Amino acid sequence: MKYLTLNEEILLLTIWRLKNDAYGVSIREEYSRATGKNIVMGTMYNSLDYLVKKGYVITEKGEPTAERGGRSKIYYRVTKSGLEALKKAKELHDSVWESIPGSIFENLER
Amino acid sequence: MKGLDEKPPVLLEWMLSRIGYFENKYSVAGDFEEIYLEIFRDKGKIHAVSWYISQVMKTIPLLLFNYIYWSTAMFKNQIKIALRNIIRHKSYSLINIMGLSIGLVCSLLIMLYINYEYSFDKFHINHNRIYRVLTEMNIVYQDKTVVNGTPNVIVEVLKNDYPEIEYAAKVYNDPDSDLLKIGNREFNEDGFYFVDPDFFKIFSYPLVDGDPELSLGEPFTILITKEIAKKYFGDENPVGKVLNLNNRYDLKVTGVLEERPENTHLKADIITSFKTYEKIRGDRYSITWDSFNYSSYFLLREGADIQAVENKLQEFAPTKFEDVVKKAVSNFFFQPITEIHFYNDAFMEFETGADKKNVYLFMVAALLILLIACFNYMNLSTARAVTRAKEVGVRKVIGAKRFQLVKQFFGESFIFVLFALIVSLAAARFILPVFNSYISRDIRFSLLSDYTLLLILAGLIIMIAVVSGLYPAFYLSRIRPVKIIRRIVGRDSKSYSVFRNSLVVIQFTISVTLIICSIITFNQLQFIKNMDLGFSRDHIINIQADNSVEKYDVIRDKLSVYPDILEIASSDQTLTGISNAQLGDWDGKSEDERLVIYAIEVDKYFFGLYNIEFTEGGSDLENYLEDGVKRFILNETAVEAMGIENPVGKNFGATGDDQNGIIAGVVKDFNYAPLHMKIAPLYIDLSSSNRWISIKISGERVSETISFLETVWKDIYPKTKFEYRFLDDDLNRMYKSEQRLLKSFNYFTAIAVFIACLGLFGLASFTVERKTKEIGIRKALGASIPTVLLMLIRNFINLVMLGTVISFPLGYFLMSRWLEDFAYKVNIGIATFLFAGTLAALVAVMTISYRVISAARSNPANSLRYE
Repeated sequence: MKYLTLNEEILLLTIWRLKNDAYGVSIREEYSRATGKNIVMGTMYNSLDYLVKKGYVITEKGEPTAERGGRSKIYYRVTKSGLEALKKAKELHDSVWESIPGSIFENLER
Repeated sequence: MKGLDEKPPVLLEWMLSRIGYFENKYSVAGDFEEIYLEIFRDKGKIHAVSWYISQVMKTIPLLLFNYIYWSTAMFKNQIKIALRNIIRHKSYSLINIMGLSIGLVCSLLIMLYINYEYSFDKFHINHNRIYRVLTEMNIVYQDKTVVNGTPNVIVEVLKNDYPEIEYAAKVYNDPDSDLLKIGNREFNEDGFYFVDPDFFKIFSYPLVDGDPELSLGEPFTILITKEIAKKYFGDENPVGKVLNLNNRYDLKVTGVLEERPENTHLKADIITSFKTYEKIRGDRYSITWDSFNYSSYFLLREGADIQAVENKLQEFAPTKFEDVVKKAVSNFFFQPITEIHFYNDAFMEFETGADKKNVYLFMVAALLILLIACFNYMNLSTARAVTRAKEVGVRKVIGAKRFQLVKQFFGESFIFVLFALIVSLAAARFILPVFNSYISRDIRFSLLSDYTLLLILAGLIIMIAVVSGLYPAFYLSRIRPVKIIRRIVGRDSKSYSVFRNSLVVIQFTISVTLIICSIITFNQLQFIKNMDLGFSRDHIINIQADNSVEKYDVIRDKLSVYPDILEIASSDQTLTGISNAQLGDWDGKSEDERLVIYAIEVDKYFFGLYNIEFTEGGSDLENYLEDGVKRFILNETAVEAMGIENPVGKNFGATGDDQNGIIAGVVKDFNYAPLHMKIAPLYIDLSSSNRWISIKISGERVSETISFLETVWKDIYPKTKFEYRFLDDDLNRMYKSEQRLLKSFNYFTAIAVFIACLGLFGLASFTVERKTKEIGIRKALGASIPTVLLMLIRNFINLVMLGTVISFPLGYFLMSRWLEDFAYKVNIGIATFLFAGTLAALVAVMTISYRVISAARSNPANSLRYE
């Protein structure tokens, strides 16, 4: 199983955090709130499509609203294998960061 | 709420929808609109729109990446499939590649040929500014009204009085061959050019050694090419050495020229100063307005207006003409040097130029052959629809769009064409030398080094691939998966089979038309060869002599004792090469009447040797030269044109020659010119001129007779080379271009028929494949082999016959236009068409039968077990 890229990891976490409200617009907002950066819409959808294809998230059709020109939302939800992938990513982070003391950044702050 | 009914601009939404290959396009657009609205509310429309645009734009790189990634993956797959198909269906691929290759070879060679023809005289650095002066005549001279000849003075006038002209030079090409000699090395040389000093300033013939200006300003100097220098001097340096001309003049070699390019109309290998010519021929050729022997070239100054110069000269020149000249000469005009090669209308031209008609003919033929090859591809690929249908079905079920399939089939035709290209490039290389000798040119294989040719080639390849791929691509990509499952693809819908059949019909229309053209050209040539020309033509030898009366008498005496030499006569031109013409003058001619009349000078034996019959007079030829009265003999056409009753004894004269005399006889018309022309008026002047000697031999022991002739000849004319020509050969040479045309037609016909039959063979193969079971069942039920054969062949034969029938009027139309050029022409008989049709049908039946007979004979048990 391949590791997630950082971008995919953030997207997955965002979707998880948004619970039942994870669709294009909210994911974008949450993403930029968490990272402080705006994501290009095209890149985002491309990655979302990839996650769907891999089975990490599933989609669900929502209600159409007037604000969207009558177009329905697509909601994303993290699947079990998505959670497993996140877990693996976390474990990777932990094992890589283990035994690295926080003091390595001290010099940077000055 | 404010702005609830605000919508993103339609254009942007459309753009988004175009790039959207995202899974949930519809929802994505919704997301975009929602964010757009939010920004619109917060910051206004401009921000919202620019956000929208930037998002769309930022997606493009990603999009491109994805597109390229997936299309290469797809491309690899398609190439693989195409190659597999080529390998699996070997005979099919062979037919296609062979047909396309042959078509391409023809096109490649013809491209090279056309490129070469258009390259003539372009190697001169100033070729855009070099012009030639031509003279327009009032009379017709050998079918022509233009002379490549100008008065001597015109060059001086151009140079001195016209500031627009930088340099000008006379050029005179000696039409006869001259003997050059050093020590014991002697050769007759044809390419003798006498030129003015400015020659090398106008033209770019590079010099290896020597000073052209100095040498061309002096008499008795000569420049030769490296090649010729080698012939005479071996490896020695020729500059400063002396060559002897015609055993009379010593010429000092003052320069050596680089090897001359072949693609020029001025094939000047030996260049002598014009001053030499003046010394040799005497002063009577110097400054005058009324002789038209020299070609004049000039270099226009940069930016000068050629038209203005031409107008000035055209106004000035006629004021200089004397009355006699005015009658014959109209005016001068200029011609750019690059146009000379395609210009065949001038008398005294230096080279036989190219015929634009031929160039077009070749082009059309090559395109037709290519077309036939493309049709083969179209037909064979669609005929294989049954086999390909499964593949198409699977691709479609998996999700291939029609566009992708179209692309795939185009790709396939591209691969075929590329294969054909590789084969044909190699083949063209090998064939080029043969082709060169056939068209007598020196074309180099410059296909891959010449930028324009390369571009044209690329265009041609794309065109062929598209033309041949178009129909299969759309036909095959249309097949519906459902149909494949229901197995109804094999059965063509009506329109498709009509389309395919018409392709076969067109192929055979073209082929049979070409067959008809070949046959009629052949018939016409036979007709001309066997036509009664009005004089005898067998066993007659012409030898060029030196016009000395004493020697002629001696040679007559010596030769006439030899048993195989029957008759001897002399003339100033050969009978088939009469090129002098005068304006006739006769009793009762009205003031404004004008008659161009050809002229030949002969001795009294001439009529007997050639069997030229007199209708009036001619009984006492013996005495004509005795009494000092000029006597002329006319042909019937001349008498008729002048409208003289009882011509014998009346006065006749030729203005150009200033000769007057009486008409002594009339001869029956005979064809002295090529049979394109009707017999023109001719007068025969009895004289002792003997530049040419005609000898009639018995036709037995020919080689002995000729060697006897040669010994006697060397004895009497030790200084001239013994060169003889058979009259028959001369006559045939007149139709060289027609003969070449016939040969071209034959080749093109053979190639076209071959490719068309290849296609037929392929189609027959598929029919047999598809009908294996049907044949088996029919045979099991008791059908005989001929019945089965007929069933398989019938459809094809119908198509071939239809093509043949269409080609009849087409061939008739084309050939009757071609025959219009001849004054004497063969009738286009029905037999020609029947023969062509039968031939085509026969070849077609043989082709199909070859494939079909084995199928018809096969044991039904085998074919029914098939599957």
